[in-house]
Formats: sequence, structure tokens, C-alpha cells
Amino acid sequence: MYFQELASPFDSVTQMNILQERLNRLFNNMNDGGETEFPPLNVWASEKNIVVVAEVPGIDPGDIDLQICNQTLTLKTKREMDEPEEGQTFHRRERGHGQFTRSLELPYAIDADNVNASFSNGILRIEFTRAAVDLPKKITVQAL
Amino acid sequence: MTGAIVERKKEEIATPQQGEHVRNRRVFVPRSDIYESKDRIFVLADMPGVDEQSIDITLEKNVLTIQGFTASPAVQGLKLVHRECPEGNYRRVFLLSEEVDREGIEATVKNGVLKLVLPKSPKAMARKISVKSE
Repeated sequence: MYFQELASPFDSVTQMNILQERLNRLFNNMNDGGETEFPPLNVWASEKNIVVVAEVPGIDPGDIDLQICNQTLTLKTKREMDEPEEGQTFHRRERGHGQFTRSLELPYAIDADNVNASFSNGILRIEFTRAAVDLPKKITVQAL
Repeated sequence: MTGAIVERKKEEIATPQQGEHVRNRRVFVPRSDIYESKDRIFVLADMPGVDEQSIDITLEKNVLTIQGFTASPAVQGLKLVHRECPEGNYRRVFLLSEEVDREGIEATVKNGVLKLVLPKSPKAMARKISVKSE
């Protein structure tokens, strides 16, 4: 009887634990879906091609610095604010600005001479093809 | 992945005040800056993937609605392996005060950012009464 009472959900310690667990879950979920690195990326891939799409609104295409080193793609860019006029007041500032760097490791070696990057309406799209040397080769087995 | 800059994710629209959407697409609130100078109010909204053809701005009474429609970014023959930018449309509603000159509203879009310029009406500016101390 005594032990049962201790384990009942109305016990203050148990209740405290339940509360704590719920709070933890709440905060973890918030962290999970609430934030992302800038710029956010989508990656499409197949055995031979990779397409990376980044949302970079308000960035001049000339300010985008793309580098590929081995299998790591590095995207460096900056977003500038409008110059504030005299006597200007801000009511909302939700858009970030400043310099951004982001690196992404690609799943296989790519052909660096055959990269296609395009920019339209604040969306950057980079297309890669897999390096010919990196393609898997099929070896036929001969029966003796 | 490196780079320590963290931004808020695209926020989905929370309150369907004017009814719910019937289309099978998500709707996001574009991140916006609003600032005011002496004679104008500026609204900047991040809407990547939207061009001048796919933006819809309506003004009904004092409700200014901006909507942006994006094309599906799916790539043929490839599989989506990592996703941080979900696809969907944009929508945000602003309530305008009396002092905006509705006829003079200008909207431009550049590199996926919508810029609205709302001029203050000369009437509203003239209506201000200065109070002097005695």
C-alpha cells in the first residue's frame, strides 16, 4: 500500500518529473523547428547529379561567393540594409543582415568544371555532376 | 556544416481570420521590415521565388494584403535529401491607418524582396495641430 502510494501520479516528485519532461519536450521541439542557419538550403540528389537550392532574398548575385574544395561547397554572401534616412524610425525588423557563410559536404566528388549556378528572384540554384572517376564501375565476372 | 548565423525559420500563417485555405499548399508569413520616414512608410518583405507576375497586392478599405505565389521547386528525376526551405506561398495582412495616401502606393520587387512605399497623405500631415505652451 505504501509503495503504491509512492508511485502514484499524484505524488509530488512524480508530478514534478512529469512536468519537467513536458517542459523539456516543449523546449526541444522549439529548437528543432524554430531556427535554421542562413541561407536555408534544399538539396536534391541522385547517383549522378546534385542540385543545391538556397533561398537568399535581397542578395545581389554579384555578392555571392561560391567555392568548391574537394567535396565541400562553401557559400559566402552578405546582405546589406537600406541606408537609413534622417529621422527614420523602425517599426519592425525581422529581416537579418550582415555576412553569411555556410559549408556543405557533398556525398561524392564532383566535376568542378561542370558546375552550373543560376540566380533568379532570390533563389540560388547550383547544379553539380558527379566526377567521371568517382562513378561506380561495374565489373563483370567471367565464368571459367 | 559551419557558419554560426542562425535565423528564424519560415513561419507558417497562424490565424486564418478570413477562413481557411482550400489549396493543398502551406502559407508562410514573409519576414518583414517596416520603417517610417517623415513623409513615407516603407515595407520590405522577403519572398524568395516570387517575381512581379506572381505577386498579388490588394487593398480593401484599410486592409492591405500581400500574397506571393511560388512555383514548385521539385527537380525532375532527383530525390530531395535535405530540406530547410519548405515550399509554399506567402501571405501577410497589414492594417493601414488613415494617414496613408492609398492612391500613391508603389510596389516593386527585386531579388525576391517586395518593397512597398506608402506615402503619407498631405491631408493627414496638415491635420496635425501643434500645441504651444503658454
